[in-house]
Amino acid sequence: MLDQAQPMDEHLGFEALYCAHSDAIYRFCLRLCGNPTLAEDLTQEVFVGALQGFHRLKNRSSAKTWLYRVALYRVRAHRSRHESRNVSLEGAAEPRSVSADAQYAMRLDLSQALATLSPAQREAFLLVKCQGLTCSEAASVLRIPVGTVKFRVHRAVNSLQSVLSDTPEASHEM
Amino acid sequence: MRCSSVQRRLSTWANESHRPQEEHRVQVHLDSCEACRQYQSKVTRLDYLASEFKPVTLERDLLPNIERDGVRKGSGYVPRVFFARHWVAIGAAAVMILGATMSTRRGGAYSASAQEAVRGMESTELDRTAYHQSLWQAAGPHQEGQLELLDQVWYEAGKWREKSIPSFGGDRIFEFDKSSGLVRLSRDWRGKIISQEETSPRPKQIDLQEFCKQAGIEGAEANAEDLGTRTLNGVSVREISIPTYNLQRTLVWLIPGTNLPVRMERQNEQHGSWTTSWLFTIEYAKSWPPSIFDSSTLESTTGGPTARASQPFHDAESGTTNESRLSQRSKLPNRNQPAFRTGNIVFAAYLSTTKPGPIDSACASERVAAQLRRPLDSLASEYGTLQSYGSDSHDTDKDRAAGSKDQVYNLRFGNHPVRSVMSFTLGSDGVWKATSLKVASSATP
Repeated sequence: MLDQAQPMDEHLGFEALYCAHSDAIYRFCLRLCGNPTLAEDLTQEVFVGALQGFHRLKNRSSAKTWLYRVALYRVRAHRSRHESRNVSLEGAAEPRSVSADAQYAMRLDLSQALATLSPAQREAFLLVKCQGLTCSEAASVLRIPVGTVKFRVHRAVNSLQSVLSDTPEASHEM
Repeated sequence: MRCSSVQRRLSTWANESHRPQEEHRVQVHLDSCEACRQYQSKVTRLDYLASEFKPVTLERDLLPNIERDGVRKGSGYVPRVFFARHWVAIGAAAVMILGATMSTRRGGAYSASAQEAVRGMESTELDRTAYHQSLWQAAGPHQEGQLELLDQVWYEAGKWREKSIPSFGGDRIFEFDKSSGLVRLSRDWRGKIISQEETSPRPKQIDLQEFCKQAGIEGAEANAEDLGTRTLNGVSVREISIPTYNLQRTLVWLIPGTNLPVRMERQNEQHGSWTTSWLFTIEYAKSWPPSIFDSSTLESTTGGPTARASQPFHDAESGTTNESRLSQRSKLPNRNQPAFRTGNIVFAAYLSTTKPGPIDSACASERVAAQLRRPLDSLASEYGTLQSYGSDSHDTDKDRAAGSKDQVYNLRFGNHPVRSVMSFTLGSDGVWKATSLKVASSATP
């Protein structure tokens, strides 16, 4: 009977907050960093921070966006440290060109296709399309205007559509 | 509208709410523009691909580490083991509402006393003897959205079990102690009992602050607004509006003097008007009807959810009926249905539209979505956008013994109702697989 759209801080207790968001935050971290172990560590860091600020968090209008924002910053910080030591393959501001063979291989693998997006587009797309946030919520997480979120998602959608060509039509018989 | 403008909107159409005028303008353009229709189709497919990311879950429970690190770093946090949301919990699971949960015993985390309290009760084994689910969804022309599974209530070995999705504070287990006539509510979080309460039919006086605390909206009483008196079953009650969050309020009808709630309603603001997302009533000084926990009663359920859902719902207080309420994006169960009164709904899955936009072929569950995707797409291409969806999904021992079953789906594409029957066979992995879809009756597109 619970309304899934309602803010999670309605539910008492940090455990409830963790139950409600840990999987989603983990997914978000995983899709951004691509490493399950690292995503777990980042998720743990996010919730340790949430635990420390839980008394403040309970009064926030949306714990969800707060958690996503912290997760985003953690991933960015990690990426920044990582890139400072290594040559990044994901630093390009614009989508990389993809060969025809690679396009074919990516048809059913959105995660690989997402790697062709710029970090900004990927963040916006993941928040809105994969994590199910509204554009307003994503704007709050990214701290950018709603219009910018929509623009980035639109660009991401167009880029992904060009990469993810249609799969062969499946038969309707089941 | 220009194609570029329409396509920009379509990219995030399912993730935003829209004014009816805007929807109309976009629809008018889509009706006349093949390119944009194709673009819309591609966006829908991309949305579906993106939704496939959802099954990824944490395989490790990080909470012990988080609590350890958080405490070590000085959060001052003390893990809580009790979540006082039993107003909603009882409303969801009990199906017929009973007394307030005044006699409460709070157990320690995984404590011996909690285990002791379980002793003497019926078996705790998860022995599913019957299983029935009700999936239904209705939406007006501007309120379609992704279908999502919100809440499950089912019956196991003499107990009711409720799982909210996502799970807030664990599953709730209601069990009936025949000797005392009390119902015990336990919370099972990942296989561990973390709290227990006894529910008593004897009401006690509470104040609004305590009420809000128990309803999980602690502190909201400060902004409560008295909307005056109403009459419920000949008794004068006070209606209080409690703004909980942005664009959301809870209407509570309280008995003057005791402040005991007799009716609660959650409303969301949609396009300038309040719409109800859930409602339940509470009756006091009533014993728990043992039939709620009687497996023989439960298994004798007749009539599927489809029949029940089609019964008109009439709310005497507001004078509204099922249809008008559903058009307001309500997901109220039919309180007049016999099964609802006697607790014969063994499994209930409530769906709601949380994301305005084209319905994504019933993402009610990953399994159902996977099975329905192609046939629904096929129907949609013939009849237009899917507007509403309802089914009599069931999974009983009899079905499993037979290894096959047929389920009825009532769909509405635009203004065209479609009744279809999907046949399933039981795979060797224990999962039902759709084998055929028959359109039983339909209107001419």
